[in-house]
Amino acid sequence: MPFDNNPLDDLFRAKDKELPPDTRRMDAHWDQMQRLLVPAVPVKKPLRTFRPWMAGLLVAVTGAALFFILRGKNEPSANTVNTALAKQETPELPPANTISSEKDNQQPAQQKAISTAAAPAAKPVNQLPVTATIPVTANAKKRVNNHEYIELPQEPQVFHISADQDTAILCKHGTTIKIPGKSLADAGGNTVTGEVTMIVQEYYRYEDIIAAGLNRNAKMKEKSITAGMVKFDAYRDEEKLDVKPGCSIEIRMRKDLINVKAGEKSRTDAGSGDGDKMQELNIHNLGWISYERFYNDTRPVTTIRVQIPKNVDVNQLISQLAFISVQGVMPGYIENNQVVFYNIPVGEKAWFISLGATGEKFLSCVEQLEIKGSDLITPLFREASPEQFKRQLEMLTALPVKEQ
Amino acid sequence: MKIAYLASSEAHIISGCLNGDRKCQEWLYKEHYPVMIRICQRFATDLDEAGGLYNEAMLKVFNKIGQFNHDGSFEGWVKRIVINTCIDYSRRVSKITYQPIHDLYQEPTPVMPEVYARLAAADIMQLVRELPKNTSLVFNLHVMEGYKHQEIAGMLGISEGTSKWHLNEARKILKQKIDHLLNQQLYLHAI
Repeated sequence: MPFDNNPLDDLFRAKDKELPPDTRRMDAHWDQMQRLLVPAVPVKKPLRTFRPWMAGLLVAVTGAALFFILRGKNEPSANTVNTALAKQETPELPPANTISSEKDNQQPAQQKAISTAAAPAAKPVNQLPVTATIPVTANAKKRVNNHEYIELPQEPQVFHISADQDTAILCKHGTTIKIPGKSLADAGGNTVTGEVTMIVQEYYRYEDIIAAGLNRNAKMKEKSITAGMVKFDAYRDEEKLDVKPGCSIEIRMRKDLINVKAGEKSRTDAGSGDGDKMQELNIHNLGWISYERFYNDTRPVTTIRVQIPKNVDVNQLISQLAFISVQGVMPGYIENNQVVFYNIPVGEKAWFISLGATGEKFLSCVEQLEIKGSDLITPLFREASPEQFKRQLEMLTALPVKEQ
Repeated sequence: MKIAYLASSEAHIISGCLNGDRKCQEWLYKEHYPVMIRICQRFATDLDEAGGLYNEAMLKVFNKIGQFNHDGSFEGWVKRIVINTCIDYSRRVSKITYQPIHDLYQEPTPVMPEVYARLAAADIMQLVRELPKNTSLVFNLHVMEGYKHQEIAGMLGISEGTSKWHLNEARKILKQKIDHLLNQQLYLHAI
């Protein structure tokens, strides 16, 4: 064929490969695309022939739905009850005792009930332009010079409180923090008084937990999964503060988000639960507070080994298993050129998530698994930009769990 | 006991798109953007025109995603839609009827790639965009996308001979333009 191996054709093909894809206008083009798309309409399955037992089922489902709706009105749920309603329901509460963040008027009534002694008026402030960053491990940092961090938007909640008096903070996603008066200290251990700034970041969303957990290193082969993380810091001017020795700060998380005990970084004492509504922890240090799941899981467990491709250095990767059922993550252990996950309950569905670098390339892997027993798996790693990996993480919340 | 792979994330994305999930659509759109926008740029005069072409193609993808039968790769399916959209667009824009051209095929023009390799990629690729629309279309499909003349003939509704003539014409024009570009640059360096 006269057209094969034409040097001019080769030249154009080579020059075309030299040109990087031009993605400068991608977001603008996506905006235009959205205008072309019709609003999302889920696919509906056609109804089959009506059967008599369906009427009974309909009544039962309606009853259950009503029950949950009515019960939901009495349970704490962030951002659902406005101030007017809250005040009506809890007229006996001193309004200045409790502090919430920028959406003060959206906090539920029962959370406000945990406030204790009188406290000065709260001064919620606007969000600071802070983003949560995911530190990549030291080894990876050396190799990925231009991609040291992946930034995920994170909303820090900022509160100004008086360190002299007991104060309760109601956070946006349901965490409640009770800070006793004079329980904070500076680096020298001196009791702090006057106004201090508290910054809270809650990681309850799937991708947030994964992102926040990327800097955690597994040290114990525990049967535990991180199901929620809170970062809680206090500052006086530029000075970072901590809990005063001998004192503690009480943190309560929503019951549906935690199930068991404090994680390794939190250095906490597991406190008593408040019935079925809230889980309570007493912390002695500020910083990361994580909560673990599966401690009481009675299912048989297994070990999952992930074989990393030969051309990828396992030490350059940060790998986790994200669990679909509990929205939690577990870090992996490095053994030879494998990432190992111990004590995984059989029957769980999980995502293997890995991020790292080889040479100048940035690699990622997001692969769904069903845990059926001990086995060695070999997932596919793809070259991906930090933005692509970030999108993959964000998609985890949107993805449906495919049943077999 | 084995660990069963439930499905790749792409399958879930496709499923989400089928239900009109906007996040899934966005993921799919941006996942394929870098590769597909390159193809669109070959058929368009600028990036925004290429973006319009990509959007037109992706609209077809989202509307017909239920027809994807998992026979080949999803990317290949998307690429085919993108290329067909680009072809339709080129035909709309050129508004030139294809006339059968036979017996006009000539031998390809010899070139010296080691000299031309010095030229900037962006300058070289711009030359393709400056070709007559139909000639550019055939050149892109044959050289850049790897279609055979028989396939191009079927896609464009022309004869194989016409396709070969356009390709040869493209090579002739491109060689002249490259030589001109090279001379310009040599002249500038000399100054």
